[in-house]
Amino acid sequence: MPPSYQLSELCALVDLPIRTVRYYVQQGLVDRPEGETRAARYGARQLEQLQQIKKWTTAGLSLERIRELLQGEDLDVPERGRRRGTLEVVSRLVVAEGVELVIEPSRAGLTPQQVRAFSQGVMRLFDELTTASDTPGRKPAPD
Amino acid sequence: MTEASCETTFGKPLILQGVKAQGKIEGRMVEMTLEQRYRNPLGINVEVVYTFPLPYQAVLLSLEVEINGETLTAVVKQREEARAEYEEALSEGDTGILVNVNPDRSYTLELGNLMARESCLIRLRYVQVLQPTQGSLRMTLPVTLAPRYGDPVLQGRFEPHAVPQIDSLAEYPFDIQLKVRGELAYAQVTSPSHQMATRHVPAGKPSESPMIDIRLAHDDWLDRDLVLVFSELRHASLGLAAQDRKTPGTGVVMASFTPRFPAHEPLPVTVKILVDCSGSMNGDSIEAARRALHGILAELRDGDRFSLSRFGTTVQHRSRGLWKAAPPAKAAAHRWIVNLDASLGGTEMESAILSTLRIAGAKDATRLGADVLLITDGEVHDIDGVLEAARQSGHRFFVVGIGASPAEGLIRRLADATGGACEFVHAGEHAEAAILKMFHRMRSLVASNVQVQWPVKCQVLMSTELPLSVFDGDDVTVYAHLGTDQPQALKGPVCLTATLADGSQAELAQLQANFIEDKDNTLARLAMAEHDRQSRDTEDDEHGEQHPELGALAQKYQLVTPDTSLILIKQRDPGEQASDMPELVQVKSMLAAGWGGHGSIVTTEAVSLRSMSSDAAPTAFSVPSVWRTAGRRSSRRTSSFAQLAMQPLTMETLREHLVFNHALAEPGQKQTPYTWVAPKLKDEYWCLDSNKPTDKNDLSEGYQGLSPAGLVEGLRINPQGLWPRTYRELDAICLGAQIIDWLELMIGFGQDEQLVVETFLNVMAQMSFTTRQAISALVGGLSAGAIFHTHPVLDCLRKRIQQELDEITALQWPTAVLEIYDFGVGG
Repeated sequence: MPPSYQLSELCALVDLPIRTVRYYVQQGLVDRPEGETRAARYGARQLEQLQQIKKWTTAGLSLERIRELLQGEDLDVPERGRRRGTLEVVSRLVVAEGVELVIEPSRAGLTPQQVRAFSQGVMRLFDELTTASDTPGRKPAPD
Repeated sequence: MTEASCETTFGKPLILQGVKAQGKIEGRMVEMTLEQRYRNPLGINVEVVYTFPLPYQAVLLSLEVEINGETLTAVVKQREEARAEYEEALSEGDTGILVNVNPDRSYTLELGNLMARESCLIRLRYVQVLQPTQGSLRMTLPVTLAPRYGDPVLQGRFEPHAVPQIDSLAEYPFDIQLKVRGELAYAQVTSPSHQMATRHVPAGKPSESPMIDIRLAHDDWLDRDLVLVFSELRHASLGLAAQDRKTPGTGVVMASFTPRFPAHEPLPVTVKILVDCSGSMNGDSIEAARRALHGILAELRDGDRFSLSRFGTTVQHRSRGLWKAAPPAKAAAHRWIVNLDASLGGTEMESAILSTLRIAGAKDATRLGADVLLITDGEVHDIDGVLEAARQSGHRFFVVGIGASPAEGLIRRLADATGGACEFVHAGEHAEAAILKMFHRMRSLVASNVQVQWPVKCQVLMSTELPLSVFDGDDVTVYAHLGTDQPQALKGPVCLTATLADGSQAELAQLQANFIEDKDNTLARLAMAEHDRQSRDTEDDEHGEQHPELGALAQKYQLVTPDTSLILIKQRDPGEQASDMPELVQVKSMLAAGWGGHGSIVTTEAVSLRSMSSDAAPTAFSVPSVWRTAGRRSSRRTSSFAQLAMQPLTMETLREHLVFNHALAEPGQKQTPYTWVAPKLKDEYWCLDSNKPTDKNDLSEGYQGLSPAGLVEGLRINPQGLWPRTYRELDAICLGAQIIDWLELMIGFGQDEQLVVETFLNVMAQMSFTTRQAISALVGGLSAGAIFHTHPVLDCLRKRIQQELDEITALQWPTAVLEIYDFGVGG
């Protein structure tokens, strides 16, 4: 059966506001209609997509995750790592001139104690390596 | 700015070119025009969606657009009708502009069919009534919405397309110019957020007012709220009256009262302090929180009581009950504050508040309800849950909002709903002034039955509600819609009266309104806007389904409310109409400066890491607990016994904790000889909540940990070399927090930690509660470890400890020691 719903009918069927449906189409989560503006027609495919989206948004999934699922990924596959444009809060420790340690504790799964222990270890290691070094011209790490 | 520099690294060009604000302040009203400049650099028609904030109390008056040579003005219509019109316009290929208000009072603008390479200018005009408090006034122009914790759609109730977006790489120029006249032109103006250039223009004629011209000192960005502080203000009650042009035979009076209470002795406070330590506080905000807390400590005096708690994904209380504000408790508080960091994950404010409310003092029936002093940036979506918990608690919430872009809406609503108050402290600003004001409020007489008497010759058709609490020197503004045939009657006296705690009636303020012409009917619109907001706050927000008349009222007075929208359609000539639906371009806000990782982390982290090994005299709570971010099951385990013992314990949980800390061998495994071995898990050695019936809602009771017999047993079976030597190590052997606090804060105040711990254990070692312990003592097993020096300080210490432990029994620590949670010098 060829796509036959107008936008308003589609919205009524799936019980979502018109703007929200149009938003999902703009975001590429729902296939484009056939025809444009007033002549646009939607079909079973879009209806299905919208029902899936509705189910997953109620479950609290993010739109990025829903996009992955709609593209055919398995629900069980763990969330992919960072997307472009993700905002993170990190700790940046200056170990020495030209050497930095960047930690995003929640992604690394580290506790504040572990972060401190790890950072101390790194600094100690750096000190050991550089003070023991007999490469000419290299100074020990500044304190 | 060239086109190239308008691009982010994503290659998507920025469609918002900049924002310019122009305002004037007269009396206590600010009228501001925000100009947003858009340009579509793409070769296709686009739909721009931009979610942005306005000041919390602002009333949006109009929207105007300059596009393609035309200037058009929007009108207010019912929400559904406006949406249908907008969608229709887009499908016809015309241009539409739609503005809606969101549940958090941010606004979403949709500009559909901005054609290829087209520019336009949108002008939003709003008005805001300013409220001075105790001689100063803070005016904020928010420009960006900081990232919030929680789900924006499920909890924040945003529509999916309207969810605020943030781009850490976006940059929009920002400019502002303000002209101040009237009362505020005589005040001192500073800005903690921006560098401003101010120019004072004296009055030309005696009847005129001087003027202050305020501008930015240099080019700036749309990345942090503009805050202006007017201080040294001598303000008094002030009123305005005007006819309502929409409804003949009626008028409006706006009364801004400055209540003045009769002089009295400042009252003692009981305050539960709760600090937000979630990730979003990182950087400048947690620094500001620490400064505010030190200010609070300084304000606490004899007779006050307080408790300390911090939260993120979970909540951690410093004690199970309230402390008296005496030097030992303040010293412990000082240490606690210094160790604060923004490491507790997300912002689960509701459960933190619930837990804090259960902290109680000693059984003192004369003590009145406590106040909660909450320090947060309020970056949470779940506003309703928090509000409900706060309202039901019966506590007043005094909220200090921290940061460059705190969520003003949540913070104000929390304060208003509970009869408290709020103050905002900008990153880098001094918190002392805000804290002093808070204490002035907490220590003042409570006024009840506060009422307004409107001009007697008028009929009161509608009047807005007063806030739950009225404080000395804090302005309150109320409106009345009055029926009268004589406009002059609107100038009659208006009074604010109340009943004070001693039963007396007092007139707190009185004014006579100035009659103004008000051609734009602004006063009436302000009154109706306030009426609309108050009507919604008291009931469930279901977009006006329970208030059908509000929608009609909003449209009549042309106000944007949850029932209405601003709509504007520009019809295009047939050749210029769009042929397809527009592509979406969302305007992403700049990241609020000072938020999260954008603060100054580097230097402080490096310094503290160096000194970690020489952790001088940490309290039981400075041991960071092994909490992970929400969702990990193993987060129940913690290496701090005190934290664990906040919840009722069972033998099983205790066993798990001891095995985890190597104090008990797993079945089948050998105990290593190098760690303290805990005494057996017998009822006589351990006090647990599960052993006896207690009121689970009262955090002030219920000692959990080693019983006296248990401690002595532990000392007996372990060589003296393994005995604890610090308070932290006493926690590690699972001695309950109350005993450690008593030792540290009562006995140990001003004493050497190791000396105190050693003396205490020696005194305990001399006791015997079980037959086996008595035999050991006889045989000399214990006395070998009890080497007493004859030294006056030690002797004194020992005698004192023995005295206070006088009423000790095998299973119970003395109540005097346990009742540390309302302790203080002098009782």
